[in-house]
Amino acid sequence: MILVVPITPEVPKRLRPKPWYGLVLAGLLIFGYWETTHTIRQDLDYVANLELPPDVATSTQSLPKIDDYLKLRPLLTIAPARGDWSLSRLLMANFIHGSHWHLILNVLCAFAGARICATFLPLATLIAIFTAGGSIGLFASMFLSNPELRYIPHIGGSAGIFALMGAYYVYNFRFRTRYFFWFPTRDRYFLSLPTGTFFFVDVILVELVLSAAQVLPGRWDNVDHFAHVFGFMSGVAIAVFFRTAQGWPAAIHTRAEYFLHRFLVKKREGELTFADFLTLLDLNSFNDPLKCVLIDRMQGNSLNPSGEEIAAFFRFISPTFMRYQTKETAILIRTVVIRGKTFPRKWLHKLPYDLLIQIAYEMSATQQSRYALLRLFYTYIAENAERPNVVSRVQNLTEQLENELEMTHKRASSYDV
Amino acid sequence: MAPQEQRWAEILKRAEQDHTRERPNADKTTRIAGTVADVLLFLLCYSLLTKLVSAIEIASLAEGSEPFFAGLARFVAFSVTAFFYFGVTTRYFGGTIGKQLLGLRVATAEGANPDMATCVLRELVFKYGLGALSAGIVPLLYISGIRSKPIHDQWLGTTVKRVRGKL
Repeated sequence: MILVVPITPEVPKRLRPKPWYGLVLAGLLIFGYWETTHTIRQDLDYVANLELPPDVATSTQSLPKIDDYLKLRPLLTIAPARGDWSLSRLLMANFIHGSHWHLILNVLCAFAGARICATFLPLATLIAIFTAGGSIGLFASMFLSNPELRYIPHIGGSAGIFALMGAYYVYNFRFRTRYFFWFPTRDRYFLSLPTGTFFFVDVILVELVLSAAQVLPGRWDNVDHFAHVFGFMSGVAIAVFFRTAQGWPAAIHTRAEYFLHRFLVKKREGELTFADFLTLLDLNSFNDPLKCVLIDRMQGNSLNPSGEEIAAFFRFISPTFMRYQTKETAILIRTVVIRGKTFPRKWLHKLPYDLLIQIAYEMSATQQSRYALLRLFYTYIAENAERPNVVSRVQNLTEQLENELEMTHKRASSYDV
Repeated sequence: MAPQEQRWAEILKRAEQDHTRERPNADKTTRIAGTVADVLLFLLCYSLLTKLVSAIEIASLAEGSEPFFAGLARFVAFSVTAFFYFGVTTRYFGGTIGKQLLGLRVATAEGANPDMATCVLRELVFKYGLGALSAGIVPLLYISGIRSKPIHDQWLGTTVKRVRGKL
């Protein structure tokens, strides 16, 4: 999370996460630090002033004897360690931090993590995932790292933060995340990238490598990468369970869409109409999986929209959708041509030339697709007459493809004797 | 692929190359930003790989293993990472991750992706290799405006195109 910083799931402005969930979680962490700071200071004094007898301090076999001193640490009254833990201390450990810097970093990350999850989860669930996932991460770390040191307390909210990241990953897996990028791009300093790959690389891949290295001797830092990884995995597991329990459809993105979808399903008592899908897309026009579902149903003839409905649907077929879902765009174009419908003028005006070529690649497999593609090209040429530069290229391409079709037709006919 | 599908694919490939050739060249600022992003991302990948390599070294025991082999392992890790990050991505995707994030593509004069040898020479030998050996003087000639084109593009006949946005 250095070069690209996740800011929000890619959703319309009105559905973007509000900051107050993050403020509540940050407040809880600050409160936890304020309440435990006295014990932390006592513990630091105890460790700093600890004087081991010479035979214990110098012997390499003396770890069990050192434990006799370490288990008296004040911090172990409120925090867990491998040799001395309880469920309540494990849960509380998520809200305890060892220093100002530890707290500041985790407060910033907790604020960011809770904020981006607010699009999908209510506050209580979010805090439950943070606490439960974080506790599982800390528990795994207690027993998997530093097996020879039984009385090292494990504290900090970072396992819980990674649990929130895991939950976000599940809910936003099929969609895109808006990232802050440190270098200027076309959209100023923001990039929208697929969550499934980029979020994984950006958040957890580094931690997986560092935790694998943590197993081997000669660790490089005091960061508990095990806790991060297990926290992330717990967040994923809890989110999958919660989604399944809610009956959350795969193509639904945000909480707002979830409730609207439930309302529409109840109203229709089952199958949604084409207009209902358009209502959902009006709420979140970035929902590409939902558009794919709609295209799939149009192809399968379970939905038969009118010309106006198709025109309304094409408002959501953006260049970004076409770049990521070129195959589905090709299916949509073929379906529209087969049903004798027309392409909206505005959409044809906005269709970039390079995307026409990508769509053409997808539509070159079957004869039916090829004729549908040529129909699209003819319509594109007719509707873009005021752009001679682009039209001449499309005309040139169309002629070459037509010639190829004619030659194939002649070859096929010459065998029909 | 059926023969007609193949012929269509050839026609479309030529159209795509013509389109790339006619795209505007990337401006200097965006190119420099892409290079900086690439250096950071490459260093991150290399750093992760060497952490694992050195952990395995420690675990398999440095007592007995020569420093020469430790150095060789790092050199191999560096070279392999650089080859994949700069060479393979430019050959098969038209640009490194940093370039793709900024909507840039490396193209030959015909508008196609350069072949593997050109990619390796361009990225590893002339751009970063020569840049490092000259202590940054060669890249500075382009950044300062003394040269209108970077040396690696001039010698290899490549250029960097801006492929997103309006014509």
